Amino acid sequence: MDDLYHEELLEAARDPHHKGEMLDADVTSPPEVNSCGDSCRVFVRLTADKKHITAMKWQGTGCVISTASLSLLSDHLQGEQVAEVVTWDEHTLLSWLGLKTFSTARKKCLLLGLNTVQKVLEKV
Amino acid sequence: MFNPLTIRQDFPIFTHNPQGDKLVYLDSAATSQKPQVVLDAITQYYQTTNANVHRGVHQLSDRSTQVWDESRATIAKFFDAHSDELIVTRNTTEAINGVAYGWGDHNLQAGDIILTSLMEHHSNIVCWQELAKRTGASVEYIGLTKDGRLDRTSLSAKLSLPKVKLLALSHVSNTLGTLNPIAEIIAEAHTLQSGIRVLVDAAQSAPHLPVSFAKLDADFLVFSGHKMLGPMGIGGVFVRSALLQSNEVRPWLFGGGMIAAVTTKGTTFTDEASERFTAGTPDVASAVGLAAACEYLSKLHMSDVGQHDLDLVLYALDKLSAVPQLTIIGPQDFSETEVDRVGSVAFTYNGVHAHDVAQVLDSVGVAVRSGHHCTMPLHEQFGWTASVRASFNVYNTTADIDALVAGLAKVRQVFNV
Ligand SMILES: Cc1ncc(COP(=O)(O)O)c(C=O)c1O
Repeated sequence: MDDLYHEELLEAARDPHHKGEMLDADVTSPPEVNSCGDSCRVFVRLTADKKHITAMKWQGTGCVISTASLSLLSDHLQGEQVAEVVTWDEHTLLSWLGLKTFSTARKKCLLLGLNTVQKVLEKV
Repeated sequence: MFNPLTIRQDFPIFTHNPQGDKLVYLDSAATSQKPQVVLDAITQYYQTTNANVHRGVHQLSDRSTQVWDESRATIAKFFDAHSDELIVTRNTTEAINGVAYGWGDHNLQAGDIILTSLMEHHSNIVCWQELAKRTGASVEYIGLTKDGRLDRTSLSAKLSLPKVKLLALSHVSNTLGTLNPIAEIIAEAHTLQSGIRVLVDAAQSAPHLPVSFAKLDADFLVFSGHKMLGPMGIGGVFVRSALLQSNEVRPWLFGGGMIAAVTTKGTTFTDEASERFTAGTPDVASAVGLAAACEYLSKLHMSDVGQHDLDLVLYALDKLSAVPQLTIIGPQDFSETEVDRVGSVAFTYNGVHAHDVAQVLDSVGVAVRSGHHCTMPLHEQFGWTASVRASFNVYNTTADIDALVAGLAKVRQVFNV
């Protein structure tokens, strides 16, 4: 656990990046709600050919894990290929967090943002 | 003498789990731990008695049938009921589903009302929503007061609506801890709505309080064995015998074991109530385990079990209300004569999500529940996204609550709030 709530993760949750609405987004997700009550909504801007992501913003309320995960995701998405992002999974997120294992119960928190992003990207 | 420290030694989990004796288990409302006598009873059944019931004339089958009947009788006695009134299910949820299928589908019609409350566990809500879809009935919810008690004005008003056919209410709320004055409410229901049927969800009361089906005047009473020191996979519903005799409640599972005669044209069901509702091979071993749990609890004396729970609840309320970051959920002000709160204390932590609180507590060996505890309508009503719940059983001590409070200091330190 002490590994889980390491300083970078807490920092990411305390001061989450790219939180807020994006009015000129190319794709916007409907509010996604986890069974634990955490929720988020994502906004993504794409290049004209829709192959690359240029920016992502998000809104939502949740625990430290889902918040930090969304914040990191918003950093990593910039400039990424859509084709690449749809292949990301929990291991991708864990590698950013520098973690090898993760509690089964909290996987939903970890994956809330990524799942939401992947869902909207499927539609572009 | 009721001594939780000695009782704790009867529960092998406290020596065999990875955290060993350090484990502070405050999640008994989700499921309780099991004493060695329950585990032994199950093993012994399989070692000495295992055979199918009501099927063979051989000695072993006969013995197994006897053990099944004896276990049912022990479980029924624990609830001050007759064993003919007991229908064994897997858990509370399956029991409520059974009432919906076996009673609701045959007795409700469009325009009827099913009355439940905003403090119910999802199992006591979703089954009725589905029954309403099937029959055209509607579900109404009794409101709550700000302090987390049933709003008696709302209760009376809803009970006065036309065609309320069922009142389905928990005895003790799994999130608020509220103990509903169930006998009084049942009496009021019968006065305001003649012919109404009442279902009592005793999932959270049976582990802590003496529950008498005979005295309650309820039509249905449901419970889960795994919350009252018994194994997982067994629970049940007590049904008032008149409803079984009149066929107002009908079987909802069909097949072997529950029949009188089967022909290719059709089937008649056995008159024996306990068999009519036992389709297929029952979980005899779990019944044996639950009977052992009932005996274990009876030996401790349910009045002492209840007093111990009360001591823990009051101690927890006292200690937790001294933590400034917490907002405690459920009743906290009590009359001189009665504390209407049982089994648990839940709270929210200002500025920290419930899962994060629980995760930090886990790191210091304190196991609590976080989330919505299957009471989303209740959480929505009060505007909580999620809460943390500490719940108790016979093996808990005030030291466990002290460990919880110490763990909350670590939460403050980790999240700096
Ligand atoms: C009040 C109440 N009702 C019903 C249930 C459902 O019990 P089970 O999951 O054993 O079916 C629970 C369990 O949490 C409960 O607390």
